[in-house]
Amino acid sequence: MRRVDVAVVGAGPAGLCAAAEAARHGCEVALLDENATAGGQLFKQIHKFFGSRAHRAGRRGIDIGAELLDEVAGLGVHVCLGAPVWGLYEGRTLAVAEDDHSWRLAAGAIVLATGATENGLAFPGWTLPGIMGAGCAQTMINVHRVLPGRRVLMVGSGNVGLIVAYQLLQAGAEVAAVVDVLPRVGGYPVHAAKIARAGVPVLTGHTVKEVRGDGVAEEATVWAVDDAFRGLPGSERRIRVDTVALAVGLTPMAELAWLAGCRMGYVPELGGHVPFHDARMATSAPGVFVAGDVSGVEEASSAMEEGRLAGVWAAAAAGKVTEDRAAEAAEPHAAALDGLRGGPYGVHVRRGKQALADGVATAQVQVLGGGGV
Amino acid sequence: MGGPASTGATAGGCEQRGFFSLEEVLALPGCPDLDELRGRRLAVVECGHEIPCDPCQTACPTGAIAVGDDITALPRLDASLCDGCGTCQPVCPGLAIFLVDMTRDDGLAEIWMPHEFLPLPEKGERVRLRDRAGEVVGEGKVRRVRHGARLDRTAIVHVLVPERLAMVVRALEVTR
Amino acid sequence: MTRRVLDHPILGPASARVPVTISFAGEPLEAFGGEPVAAALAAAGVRVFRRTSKRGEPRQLFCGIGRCTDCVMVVDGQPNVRTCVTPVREGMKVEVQDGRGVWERPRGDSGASRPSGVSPEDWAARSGAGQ
Repeated sequence: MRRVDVAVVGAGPAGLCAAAEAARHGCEVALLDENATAGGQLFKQIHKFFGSRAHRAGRRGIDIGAELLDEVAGLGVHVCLGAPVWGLYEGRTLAVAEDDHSWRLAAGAIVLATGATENGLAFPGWTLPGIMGAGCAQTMINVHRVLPGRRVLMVGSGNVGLIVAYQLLQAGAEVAAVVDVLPRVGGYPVHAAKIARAGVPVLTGHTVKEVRGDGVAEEATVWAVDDAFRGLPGSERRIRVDTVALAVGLTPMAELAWLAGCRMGYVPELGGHVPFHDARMATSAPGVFVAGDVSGVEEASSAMEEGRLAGVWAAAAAGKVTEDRAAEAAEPHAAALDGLRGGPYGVHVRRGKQALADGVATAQVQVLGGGGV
Repeated sequence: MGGPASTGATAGGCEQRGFFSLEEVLALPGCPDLDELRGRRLAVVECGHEIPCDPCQTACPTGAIAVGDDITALPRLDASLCDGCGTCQPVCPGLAIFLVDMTRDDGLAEIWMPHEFLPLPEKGERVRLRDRAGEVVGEGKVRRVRHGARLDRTAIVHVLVPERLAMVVRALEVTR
Repeated sequence: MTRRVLDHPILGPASARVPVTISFAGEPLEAFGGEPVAAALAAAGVRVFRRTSKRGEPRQLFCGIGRCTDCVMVVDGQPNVRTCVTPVREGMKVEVQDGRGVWERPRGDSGASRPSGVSPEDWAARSGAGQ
């Protein structure tokens, strides 16, 4: 059985930052990812990021990703790709699958940075070929450089929907419309402005009623909704499309936190069930930390800051750095994280994260589990 | 400075429609007054929501754009300090900054627009012009196309438009 | 007009890749080395990857990153292969999967299938049982 000081599960922006930070603080680090390449969703983000200079604002996600990979490689982190972690046992032991066998890895501290998965939306015809997650469309165009279709309806106007709609235009697809069931755009209005001025109709207060076609998606019907989000008969509009991209939210992939016996809470503001964690990104399971979307759906910039925090405190938990030194190293990242969560767009996340930090079961937070490894 | 300073209260119709109306833009703190715009080429920062973001402030070499320490604050443009250099344009992650030059005396205005689509227009080409809502409002001639390392793959296209559309045109479309 | 994004305002021109020929439904299909089967099929306009067990309904892609299994097809005789994360190989044979598919390889003594035909003894040794 192999052993390291810190094992990081998930090599997206949060995991890369956690691994780098733990390594910087003297740890032997293993960074594991089920995919063949590292970077998580970061290498699909071809747009420029928001935030401040400290957050690498104005830089494209793909370039930030390349820098993180270099940083991790330069620090001697053991990067294991194609290595899904399927178990978490006593003594902070991970079970890792690789090719046709499994092996075990024990760690002084673990950082779970497994991200989140796209939600589905069921409506008549939703299983037809051509209907996919917005992230799937993004992967196809920005990683594989293949158009999944030529004419797309985007369902959901959060940042994922707005950004992927723009990227579909950049890849040469037509975006027939963006619909959102709420009466307002969910993401940053500047993202909506970029596609609106390119001629894409943004239909708030609308949703998809059904999709029809001869064995494949050929036509979507959208309609307006009332205050209770019920479709309004008579308001239907039929739109010829071959693709429907669903950008209807993400759900944290917290399976390993459940396995670790972490105390979990159901927090709608954060996307679903998440592990309780404090400002150090520590869960209720000793030596188990979380970072990135698994700890609450947010964005890449916050994932990177949370990753740095988790990495530092994991290094402390592994006994490689003192509390004082860790607190000093953590401070700028905690401040940066606060900066990213300011303003009206940060309200939900702040509320959700506060509920977790307080360890309080509010009306919206259901508390489950509570054991530990 | 543009109109009554917004405290960052979300500008109504924009969230519902997905784009600002002209009136909403003119009221933004990042928008110069119309008479200032007639004096020289100025940046128009069409940013009206409290998003944590400040690269425009960091990039501006003259200090004409101010966001402040709370990076969710709306950027304010001090037109007296703005020399129309356009350094802010490519760093804005929202592609929300336009340089507008209404000083010509031939009935045309020149707008510098961020453009991230292919094919890139060519100098001298006539392109279709769209407003913030995506409506086609006319045609314009491309005066110059800039792209290069410092712009980080955001091309800046200089387009001549009818002067009355200087604060209306916000996108171009190559029609070949 | 091709579905391949040959040039892109941010990503630039597609880099040169080694052409690979696979077969789909018995016919040759051009692909590029390193890309997943699903990308090659999507580029070629293939819209149906499999049909469901109960009602024979068509399916193609959903998540695109190997988590949902919507995209599984029969690859080189093996069913339930996630085409969105399986790279093409020269001569690879890809077929539309019908329902759960049929395993062409013999199943092991334990009844559990081992993807690469590893013997039960090897399996136990490699998984570190008893360490």
